[in-house]
Amino acid sequence: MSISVIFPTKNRAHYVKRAVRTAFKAHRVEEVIVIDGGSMDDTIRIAEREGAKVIVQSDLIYPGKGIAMRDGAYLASCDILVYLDIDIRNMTPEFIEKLAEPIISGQAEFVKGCFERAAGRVTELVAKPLLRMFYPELAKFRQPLSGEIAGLRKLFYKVEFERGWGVDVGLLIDFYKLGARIMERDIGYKDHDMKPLHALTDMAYEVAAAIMRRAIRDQKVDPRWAEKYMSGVRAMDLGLESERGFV
Amino acid sequence: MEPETLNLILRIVSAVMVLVIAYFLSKRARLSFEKSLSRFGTGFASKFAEIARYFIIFMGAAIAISILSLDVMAISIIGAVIFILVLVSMRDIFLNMAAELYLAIRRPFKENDWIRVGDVEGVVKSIGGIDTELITYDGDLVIIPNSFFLRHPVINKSQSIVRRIEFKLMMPRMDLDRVKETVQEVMKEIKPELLGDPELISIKETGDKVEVIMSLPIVNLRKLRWLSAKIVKAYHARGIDVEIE
Amino acid sequence: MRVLLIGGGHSAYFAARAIREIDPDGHLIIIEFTREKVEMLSRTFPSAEVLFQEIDRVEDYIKENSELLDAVIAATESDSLNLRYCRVARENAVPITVGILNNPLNYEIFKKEKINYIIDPYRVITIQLFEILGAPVNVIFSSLVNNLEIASVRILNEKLLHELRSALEKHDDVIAAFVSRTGEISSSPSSVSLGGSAYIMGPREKIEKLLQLSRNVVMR
Repeated sequence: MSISVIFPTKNRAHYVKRAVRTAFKAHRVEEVIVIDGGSMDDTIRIAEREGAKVIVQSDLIYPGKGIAMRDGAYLASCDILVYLDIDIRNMTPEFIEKLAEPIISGQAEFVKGCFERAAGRVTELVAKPLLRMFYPELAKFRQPLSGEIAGLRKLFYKVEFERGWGVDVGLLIDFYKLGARIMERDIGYKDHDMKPLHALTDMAYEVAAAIMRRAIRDQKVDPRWAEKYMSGVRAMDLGLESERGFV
Repeated sequence: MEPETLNLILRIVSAVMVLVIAYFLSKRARLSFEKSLSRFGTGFASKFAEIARYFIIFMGAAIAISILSLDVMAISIIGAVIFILVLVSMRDIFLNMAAELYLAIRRPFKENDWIRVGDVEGVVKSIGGIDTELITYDGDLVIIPNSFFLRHPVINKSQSIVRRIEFKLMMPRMDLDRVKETVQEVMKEIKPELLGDPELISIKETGDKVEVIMSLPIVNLRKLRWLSAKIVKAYHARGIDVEIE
Repeated sequence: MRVLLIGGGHSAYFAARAIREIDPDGHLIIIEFTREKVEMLSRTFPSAEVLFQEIDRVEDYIKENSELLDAVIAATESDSLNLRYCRVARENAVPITVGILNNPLNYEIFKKEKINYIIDPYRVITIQLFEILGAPVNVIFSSLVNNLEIASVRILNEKLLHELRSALEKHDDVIAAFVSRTGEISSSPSSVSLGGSAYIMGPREKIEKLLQLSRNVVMR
């Protein structure tokens, strides 16, 4: 089984060369994809020079992480996809190998990476409580919002990619609902910048929205009540307006 | 330490430094040539850049050898002879490289053009550094060395996306009005596969047969065989045996 | 002709409408990846064959039908998918391959893959704004099928007018229309004064050279 490593990124020229080279060193990695979010620096040029496939994400919105991840999955051609943040300062090929190994050995179809670092605030205060309420089977994951994930490419084509920060928890829930075997794998210590507190409000909102949308669709919350009282969770997102066409 | 030993060590160190400098210089030169010659085609640019790289390494080796006071002349002559032998044995490859440059500058055709060269006719699938791939009317993949294009004229039949192809049908002799009626019915059936209206050019009796010539505006010429089969089938459904020429 | 259109969103809708207008009797096949959209497309385009396919299977469909397909138009909401499908169509010698961009920044990436025709629907925003707000030089139209370009040049100084006149005299295959500040249109350069515009049309390379010349004069 071959591996595609996907880096969603924006203005990370400083990190891209090392990240792409490290990825190519991992066992079974046949392609490295850099999905650019509209960089104004040399990210694209450096990535191409290092042999990565590069494409700019289809929609330049902020945050567009989900769109970048989706575009990465669509461009990939290997059997297993591994997603990593490009600015992990201590990245080694083992990060990739540890994430892919359970899939290669047939133990899992979707792997969430977890790592040693201080507890994420959005994880502990938003994601875990909501998962406990609506998807208690997933509450056991230490880092449900981890962006270090791996999975079978064909399964990524069956799930929905949230556009923004909710993509990671959205994928976790969708893979769970698909019946995929999911595993959490410790990938060690991750040296990575954490976001400042004021930047977390939007992230928290999007994570909550991703979980709530799925809970409403799965009838764990009354959809009509949600449409009436939950601003931001529009009827279209709930799939209630499937009759709508072009006109 | 004795002066000769020191001298030898210095010369060895200098020779090694020259080799290292030549190695890194050759890498930079390769990147530079690849970039500046890329407008002639990436395949040609990379090959030329590789040759330039080896030339710089060879020069570096020659300088290192002379620093070590070895017999430069003898080694150079041997090296030159080997180089010439390699050139002669690779002359076809160099010819293909020259053809690649010719194709890049002159551009007698591009991918997806319908061309004829020598006895081969087909759609250009890809233009590579050494050869070009065509897909023929029968769906066969033909690989043509680029040097072939230096020796044979190329006819590029791609004037527009639509090509009018004439079909000649031979059917048993029958009432000409009926022939015209069936032709128009069949043309209507195949129209969704064409871009534009098919045209009935002529109907005439020849001996015990009727000859019908139609002109069909086709985009994908590889569809011709399938279209022929569809026309024959349409006539069979009407109880008429036809042959297509 | 037989056209395969991949996608069921905004771009695909307008592409399907255009194809139906160009070739009302042709065989239009639309592929989409969700059943709801397949239903909606079937209602909107009843004369088209609308197919549900999984993302991975579309490439197989193109390969299996490449002999019959006249054109493949990739108009999904993902440039990654559009690139993949265009690449497969090109490799299988489909005569016309069209990629409709979601992000204009991917133009060069598509061009490197030698896709026949790349449509950037957002280019119009630049062109129209340039013209409305009076940009000195503006490429209005660049044909994907022929080597033809149309551009506008604002006559900001006498030197520019003089340079344009001599360039037009030198090249038979470049033609121009001149629009004065008051809106009168003429084919003669003598009828236009400063503040008017010249609209030039001709082979792409020559127009690009004229535009570069104009930019140099304007910048001086």
